[in-house]
Amino acid sequence: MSSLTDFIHYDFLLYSLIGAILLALASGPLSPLIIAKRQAFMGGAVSHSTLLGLALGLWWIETQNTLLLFLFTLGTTLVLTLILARQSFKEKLPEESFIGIFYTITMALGILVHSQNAQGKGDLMSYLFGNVLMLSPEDLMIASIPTILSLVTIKLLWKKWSFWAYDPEGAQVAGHPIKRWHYLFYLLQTLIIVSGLKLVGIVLIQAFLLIPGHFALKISKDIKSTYRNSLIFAVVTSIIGLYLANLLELPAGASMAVVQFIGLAMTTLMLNLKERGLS
Amino acid sequence: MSEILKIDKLSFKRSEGESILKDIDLLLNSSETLGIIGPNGGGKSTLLKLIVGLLKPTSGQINFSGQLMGYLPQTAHTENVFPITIDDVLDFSVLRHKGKLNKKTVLELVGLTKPTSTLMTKLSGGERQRVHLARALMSGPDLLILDEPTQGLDSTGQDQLLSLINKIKTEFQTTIIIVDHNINQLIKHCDKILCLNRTQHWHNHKDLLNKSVLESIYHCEFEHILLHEKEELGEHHACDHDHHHHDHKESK
Repeated sequence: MSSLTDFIHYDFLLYSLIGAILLALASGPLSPLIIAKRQAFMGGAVSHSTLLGLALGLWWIETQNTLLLFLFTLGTTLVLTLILARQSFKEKLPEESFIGIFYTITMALGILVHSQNAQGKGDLMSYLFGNVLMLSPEDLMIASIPTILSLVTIKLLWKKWSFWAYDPEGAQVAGHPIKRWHYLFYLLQTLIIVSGLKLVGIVLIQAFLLIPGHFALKISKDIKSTYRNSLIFAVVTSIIGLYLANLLELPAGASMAVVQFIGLAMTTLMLNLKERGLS
Repeated sequence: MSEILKIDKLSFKRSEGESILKDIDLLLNSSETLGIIGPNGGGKSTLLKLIVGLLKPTSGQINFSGQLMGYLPQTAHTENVFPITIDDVLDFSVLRHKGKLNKKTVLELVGLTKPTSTLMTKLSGGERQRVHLARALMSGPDLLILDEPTQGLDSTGQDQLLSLINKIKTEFQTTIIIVDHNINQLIKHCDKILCLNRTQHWHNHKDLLNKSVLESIYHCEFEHILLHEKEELGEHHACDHDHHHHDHKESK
């Protein structure tokens, strides 16, 4: 299995390709905002908190029922994220400390629940690092929900959310519904993270949420092109990563994350060389 | 002159119970300029944040009878991560309310000649301040609130900015509230002065502002206040006096 045509001939490869593109389309446009709003650590906290929902879901629900497991994990993670969002909105202490506590405790509880109750009912490791080759059409349907929501939200609100990221107080004084935006922003991230569990896993989803935005913010000359470049980078690197994983028989999620990082590192290097050449 | 802002018995406490403002009363008519002075930590910025709605009062009323407010914070907490240009910042101000003035007019008014495609990160502190002032003006606010707009500017820059504020007031009949450490300049440019030191405040026509009032607010000799004002302009003096808040009785 080493050619591009494999992705058409084998259903599981085609599903993995569609899944990777859907995740890239969902996370790409949101990624610059996550960085601009300094929410990278928060994304990590949300992704790790899914472990608790997942462990409870694997304990109570048949693992074959993908949709029900997704909905249960999503519901549990949303409740946890709402607590995180509420606290981060009003907390006087540094936000990072609260996120750090949230992050470790929800993960620890997830491991405890799984170790006591759900062993043998689903491989938790596959959710930590994902298995894109196991995607079903049902998984793709689920993955399309955050993709549509993310694309529509950014299409409608990109300028307002850029203002919000640039000057949160200014946006509030201007009368924008920043509390509603705050919760919507967390909701979108949660949806993307939960739907990406099977695809790239809890750990590697962070690459999709951070690297495209980092790349776009480095190279873009205006706000609109930042969102566009982030989306294009996420899609292109995901396709390359998946192709290389198939070609070299490597884990798909890790390959996509590493290709994204290589793309970012090469861009940074080229920009540095260009800067030195000009000065 | 119609009444534009009325504050009744306004108090604000931090969540841990520390009183920042107590029983503040204020009345401001349209086209008036109010200058707010007082020591650091005296509650000046808190009062402005309460007026613009960034903070909620513990008790008391704030009645704003205009339509729009423009706000220039002390140091705009801006995240320059996105490649944001002057154009973008001005566009931001009209995302919710239609602009009454166009970009060219406000930029001319604040005296900014740089192309609007210039990135905000390429501007000096003073230029960024002017862009943010232009943004506050774009929607044609009835009430313009400026928190230490001269901070970081040299004496010429301070004079220019205060003259500009006067021009805005004259041309657009805008009501202005301005917080600044430069007492002499504020007394010169403002119709009313509010002296604020947490629970203590004094608010009346500026002609009644005298040395003893200022001393009671700042808790130090008047000469020290003037020396500190010079320090704001970069002229330092040796002084170990604590100009921050002291516990004291309320007096009006």
